[in-house]
Amino acid sequence: MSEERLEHSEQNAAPAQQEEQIPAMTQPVPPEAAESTPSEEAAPAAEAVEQPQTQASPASATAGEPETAPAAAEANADAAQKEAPGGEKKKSASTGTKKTSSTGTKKSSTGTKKTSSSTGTKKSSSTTGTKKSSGTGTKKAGTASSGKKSSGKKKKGKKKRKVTLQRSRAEIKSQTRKTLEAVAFMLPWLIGLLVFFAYPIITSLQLSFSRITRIMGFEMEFVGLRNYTGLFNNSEFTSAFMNALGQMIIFVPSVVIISMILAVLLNGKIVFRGLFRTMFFLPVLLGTGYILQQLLGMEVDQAAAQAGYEMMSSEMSRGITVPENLLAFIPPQFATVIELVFSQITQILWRSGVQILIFLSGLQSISTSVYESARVDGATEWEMFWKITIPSLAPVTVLTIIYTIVDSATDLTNPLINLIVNTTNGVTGTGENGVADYGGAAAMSWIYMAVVLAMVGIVLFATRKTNNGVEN
Amino acid sequence: MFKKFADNVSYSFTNFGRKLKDTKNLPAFLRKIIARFLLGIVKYLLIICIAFVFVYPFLYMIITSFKSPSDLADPTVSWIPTAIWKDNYTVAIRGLQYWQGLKNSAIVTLLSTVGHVFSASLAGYGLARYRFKGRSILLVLLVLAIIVPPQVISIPNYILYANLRLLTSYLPIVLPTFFGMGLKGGVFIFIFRQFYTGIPSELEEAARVDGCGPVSTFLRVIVPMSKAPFLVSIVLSIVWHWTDTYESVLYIRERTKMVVIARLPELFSILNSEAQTETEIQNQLIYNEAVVMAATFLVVLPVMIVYFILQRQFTQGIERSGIVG
Repeated sequence: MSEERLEHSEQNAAPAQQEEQIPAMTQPVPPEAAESTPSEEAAPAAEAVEQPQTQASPASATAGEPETAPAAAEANADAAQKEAPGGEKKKSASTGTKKTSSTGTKKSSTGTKKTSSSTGTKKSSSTTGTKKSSGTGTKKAGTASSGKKSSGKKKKGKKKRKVTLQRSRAEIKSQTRKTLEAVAFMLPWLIGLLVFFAYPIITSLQLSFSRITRIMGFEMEFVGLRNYTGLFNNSEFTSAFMNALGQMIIFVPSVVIISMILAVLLNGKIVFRGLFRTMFFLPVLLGTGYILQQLLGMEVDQAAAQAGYEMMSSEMSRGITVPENLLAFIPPQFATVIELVFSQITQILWRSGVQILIFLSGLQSISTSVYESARVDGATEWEMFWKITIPSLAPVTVLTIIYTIVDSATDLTNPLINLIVNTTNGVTGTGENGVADYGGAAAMSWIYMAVVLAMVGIVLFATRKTNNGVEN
Repeated sequence: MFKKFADNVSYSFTNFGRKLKDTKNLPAFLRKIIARFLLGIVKYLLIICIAFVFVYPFLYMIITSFKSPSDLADPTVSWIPTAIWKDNYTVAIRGLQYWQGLKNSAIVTLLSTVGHVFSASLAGYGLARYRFKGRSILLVLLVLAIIVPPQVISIPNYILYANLRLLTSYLPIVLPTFFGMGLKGGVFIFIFRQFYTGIPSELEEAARVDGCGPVSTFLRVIVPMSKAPFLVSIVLSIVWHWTDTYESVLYIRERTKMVVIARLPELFSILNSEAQTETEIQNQLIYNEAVVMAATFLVVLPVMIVYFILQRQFTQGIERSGIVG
C-alpha cells in the first residue's frame, strides 16, 4: 500500500518530467509503440486512481508520439517492466503483478485467481516482450488494475466491468483446466472404481436379494429379504459371526497397544536397531495367516476335518509359550488360562508387523527438540511418554485402528470369512445340497461388511477431532 | 556394528567421568545410574524376548525342514538336527512343482506391482494436489475401497471375468491393479497421497514457470523425488501378492498357471492322504512335518530374499514418506 502511494506520487511527478524530456527525445517511434500507446494509455485510465490518470492523459494527448518513444524504447529494452517515465506506470503495473503473485501463493481465494492470470500474463509478456499486439497490453492492464483494485479505490465504472469480465473468463478457464488435469491424473483409478468396485458392489447387493436359478447363465430371481432372514436361522452363521466379532473386539485394542509399545521401544537408542526392525516385520512376510495356521498345526485340511479326525497340535504352538514344566506346577485352571493367554499373545504379536512400522514412522515425525525441552524442564521418561508421545501419535493411532479392523476382518483365518468362502464354493452352507449359494453368501458378506463399516464409523466419529490430517 | 557398540561404551565411560565430577550428591547419583542401568537391561530383555517370538516361526521352519525322519520321531532332538537332510527339499520341490509355480508367482507379482505403483502414484498425486469439487467424496470412496473386504466384491468380479473370457490368463489379478483397485490397492493410493501432501508446492510452481506441463512436472520433478513411497509400495505389494491365498486361488485354476502358494494346500492333502486310522494320521503328520516345513520355507524364500535386499531402504522409506502425515 505504501508502495502504491509512492507510485502515485511518482506518477504525479511523472508528467512534469515527461514535459521536460519531450524536446530531448528525437527517436523515431517504432510502429508497435503506436499500437501499444492507446492501450497503455487506456491502462492507466482503467486504473483506480484518478489524479495520475488525468495528469497522464493530457500528458499523452499533448506529447503524442515522442512521449511514448521512451516508453516503447524501455519496453523494448527489457521484457520485464523497468523504470522509465512512461514505464513508471508499468512499474506500478509490475508491482501490481508482483504483489498478486506473492499473495497468490497464500491460500486466499482471490489470491489464487490472480496468480493464474498474472502468471499467464507474465509468461506471455516475458516470452514475447512488447512485440505482441495490444492483447498483451490489455492483459497487463487487466492484472495491473486488479492489483490496484485490491487497494480498494474504484472510480471508473465502465472500464471496471470490462476488466472484471476478462478476469473471470481467465479464471474460469484456468479453473476448468485444473479440474481437467486432476481428472486426467486420476482417470485410471476412477475407471477402476467404476468397473471393479461400484459395479461389483451393486451386483453383490442385488445378489443378496435374489436367488440363483441357473448357474451357467447366472440368472437371478428376486426373492426379497429371504436370504437375510434365512441367515438368522442359520446356526453356523450366527456362531461364526459372534466368534469373529468377539475376536475382533479383543484383538484390535491389544494389537494397537502392543505395537505402540514396541514401536516406542524400537525407536530408542539400542544396539542393533536396524536388525530388530527387520526382525519385527518378518511375520508379515508369512502372509495372510494361512501359513501361520499351518505352522501352528491348526486345521487346514478340509477332507480330514470332515472325516472327523482330530489333528494333533504341533509342537510349535505349545513350545513358544510357557514351558510345560513350569505349567505342571500350577493348578490346572490357571494353567489352561495362562496357556490360552499366551497363545493369544503369540497370535497378536505375529499379526502386528505392519502396525509397528506405521507407528515407527509416526514416531519419527515428532521432532526431538520437544523431548529435549521437556527434559530440560525436568520431565521424566514416563511423563514424556504420556504427555508428548501419545498425543502426537493420535492420528497415527486412528489410522492403525482402522487398518487393524480391516486386517482382522478380512483375515482368512476368520471363521466367518471361511464360512462365506465355503458357501460360495458350495462346500457347506445354505444352498441346496452342495450347490453354491451365491445369494446367501452375498447376504452374509453384506451383513458382515455393514458391521465392520459401523465399527470404523464409530472409531472415526469418536476421534473426529484428531482427524484433520487424514481427511484433508 | 561392533564399532558402534564400542563407541557407545566409550562414550558412556567418558560421560560417566564427567558427570561424576559435576555431581555433589554421590548416593543419589549412583542410584540414578543403577536405575538407568536396570531399565536398560529390562528394555533389552523385553526386546530380545519379543524378537524371539517374531522370529520363532522362521527358525522352527528352517530347523525342522532339515530333520531326517529319525530326528522327527526322536523326542530328544529339538533344536539341532543330527544331520542335514536334503531329501525333504527334493520331495517338496517335486510336490509343489516349484520351478513352474515360482515362474507363475513371479509373473503375477511383478506385473501387479508395476500396475499398483503406476496407478497409485497418479491417483495419489491427483488427490493430493488439486482442489476440485468432488475431492472429499473421492476421499471417502478411497477409504471405503480400503475397508470393503475383497470377498464381497469377488463374486461379481468373477462373473465379469468369466464373461470377458479372461479366466485362463493372469489378467483377473493383474488388470485391476493398473486401475488402482487390485489387492489392497487403496492402501497404496493412500501412501502416495500422504507423501504428496507433504511436498511443498513451490517445486511444482517452479517447474510450471520453467514451462513444464502437468505431465512433465509429474515425470521430471515429482517422480524422481518420491523414492520413499515407491519403495514402500513395491515391497508391500510384492509381499502381499506373493502370499495371497484368496484371489490367486479364486481366479487362477489352470494347473500350469497356478502360483506357488496355491499349491501348498494341495501338497498337504497329498502328503496326508494315505492314512486311514487315527494313529496313522498322527504318525503321518509327524513324518510329513519336515516336508511341510520345507515346502513352506521354499514358498517364503524368494520374498524373504527380496525383503532382505530392500529392507534398509524400506524402513527408511517408511520413516521418510510420512505415511501418517
